[in-house]
Amino acid sequence: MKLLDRGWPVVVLLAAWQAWIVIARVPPIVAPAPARVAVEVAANPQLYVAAASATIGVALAGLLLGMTLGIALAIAIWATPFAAGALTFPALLAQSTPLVALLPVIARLLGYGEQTVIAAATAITFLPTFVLVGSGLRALPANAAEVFDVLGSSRVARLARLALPSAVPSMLVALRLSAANSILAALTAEYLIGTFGLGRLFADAQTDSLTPRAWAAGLVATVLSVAAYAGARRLAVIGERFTL
Amino acid sequence: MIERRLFLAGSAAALGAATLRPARAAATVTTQLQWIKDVESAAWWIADANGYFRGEGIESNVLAGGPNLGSIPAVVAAGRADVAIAQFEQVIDANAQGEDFVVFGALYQTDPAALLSLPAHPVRTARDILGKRIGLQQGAHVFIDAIMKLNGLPPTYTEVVVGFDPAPLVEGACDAYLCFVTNQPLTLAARHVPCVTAGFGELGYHTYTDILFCTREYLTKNRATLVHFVRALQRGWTENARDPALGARLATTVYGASLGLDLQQQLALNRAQIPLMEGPLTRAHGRMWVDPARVAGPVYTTLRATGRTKLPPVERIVDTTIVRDAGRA
Repeated sequence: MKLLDRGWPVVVLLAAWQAWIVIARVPPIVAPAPARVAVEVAANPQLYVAAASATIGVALAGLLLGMTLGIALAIAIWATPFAAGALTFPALLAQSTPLVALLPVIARLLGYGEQTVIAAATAITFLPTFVLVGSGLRALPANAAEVFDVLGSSRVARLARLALPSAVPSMLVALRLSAANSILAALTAEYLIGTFGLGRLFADAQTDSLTPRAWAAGLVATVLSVAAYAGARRLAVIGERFTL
Repeated sequence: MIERRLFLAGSAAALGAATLRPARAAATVTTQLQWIKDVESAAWWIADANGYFRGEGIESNVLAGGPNLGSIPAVVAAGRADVAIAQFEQVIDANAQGEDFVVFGALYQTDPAALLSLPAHPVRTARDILGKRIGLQQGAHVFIDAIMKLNGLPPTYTEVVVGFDPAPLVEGACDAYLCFVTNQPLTLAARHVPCVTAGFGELGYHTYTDILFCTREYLTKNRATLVHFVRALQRGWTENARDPALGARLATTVYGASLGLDLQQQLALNRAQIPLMEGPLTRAHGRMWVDPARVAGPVYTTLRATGRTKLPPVERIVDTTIVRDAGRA
């Protein structure tokens, strides 16, 4: 019952999709019916498992690298005001440039291969962490900074015992925001220059005009994104128990 | 609107424009291009600017394509365009999924697709592909796989997914690059980079690149309109072959003005594509001719090598009567 409470929009969406195909007599090459997409996935399970695994791998690697990079840069800015000027602008520039335009530059630096696909996923997931952790490091509990002042704490102790712990909730929010996005980032990068994963499957399906396969790849990616978001939220709930 | 057309037709006749038919309501034909609005569609621009369409009672409407347009057959199936340019393979695939499209013309008689390489590591034959890194646009590996199969070779090459810029080849990120002989080799030549090209036909992959198609229903109901439309395009291509600068100028300054195209590049492209559009068959039967024997023979052999096994009888998918009748002015 709980599943139905949460899942009814999906049911409505699927019903509307089916109705649109039937009523508007949409040709299968324009848009396939949901049943046809389901049959496509069911008939080629190994294809979708292999593609989805590759995409999950890229997304996880991108998420991990993106968050590590975001936290590292946020700490650098916390530590020296000089870094703030040097890093904030390039970070924003990287984020406001479309991935399509960024990819040839990344490819030229890193080569045309898996590393570039992961780098692209990293570029998309790093900004939320960078911004949120950056503000989290400064959002200290009231009077806590004074206590550290009075005790004459070192910068390192301040970071390890005050700033980083108080930034944990921000990290969890960043994880929630980036987790679902990381699948999209992996998909986009694979579509543009990958030789594996759901993005590639989608591109190949387009070349061969296999509309049900193209839609199925998109649908599997959507399910992965939702699962990633739900998983990250679960992690956040667990993580919040350990924060102040 | 009708008054305006009558006025235009009248004034054109007064100016002595040839081949004007008795004024009648123009039939609008919407074309979905495969590529952007550049000189590759010169006939559309010339036929519009020189009044060939108007003379045939056609109002031409053109939709731009490009690398981000998902599926051209889907655009026609959805009724957004009357006719479209696509790869022959796309029409075969669409019909295999229940569509009923008819191919009634072909822009290129010789396939402009080719493998581009540098003289240090040249790719001249399919055998040269073995063990090399081939730069391909996303999804294009199917063509190389088919070339290997057609030549009885194993598909042992490394795929490098690249874009439409040949820079990866020059930088050494790949040994060969899938190009159009009308495009990237000319860009490299302009930069004095010597290069080697091997056409898809020479490598054993035979297809019709840039075919014109529509639904069977549209062809049946609008046969006369299509004949007029094709006749105007044929005149456009003939004029384009006579004066390659006109189409390049129209593409850069009028029809594709917002794209920031380079006139010299467009002119070079046009000069390179004109010979690919002509051959003994176009001289015998008219421009944009599709040869059923070539489809039944080498093209179908190629398509089987790509794994397409359910191929329709050629007369089900190719109609030669539109181009034939367009030539009987």
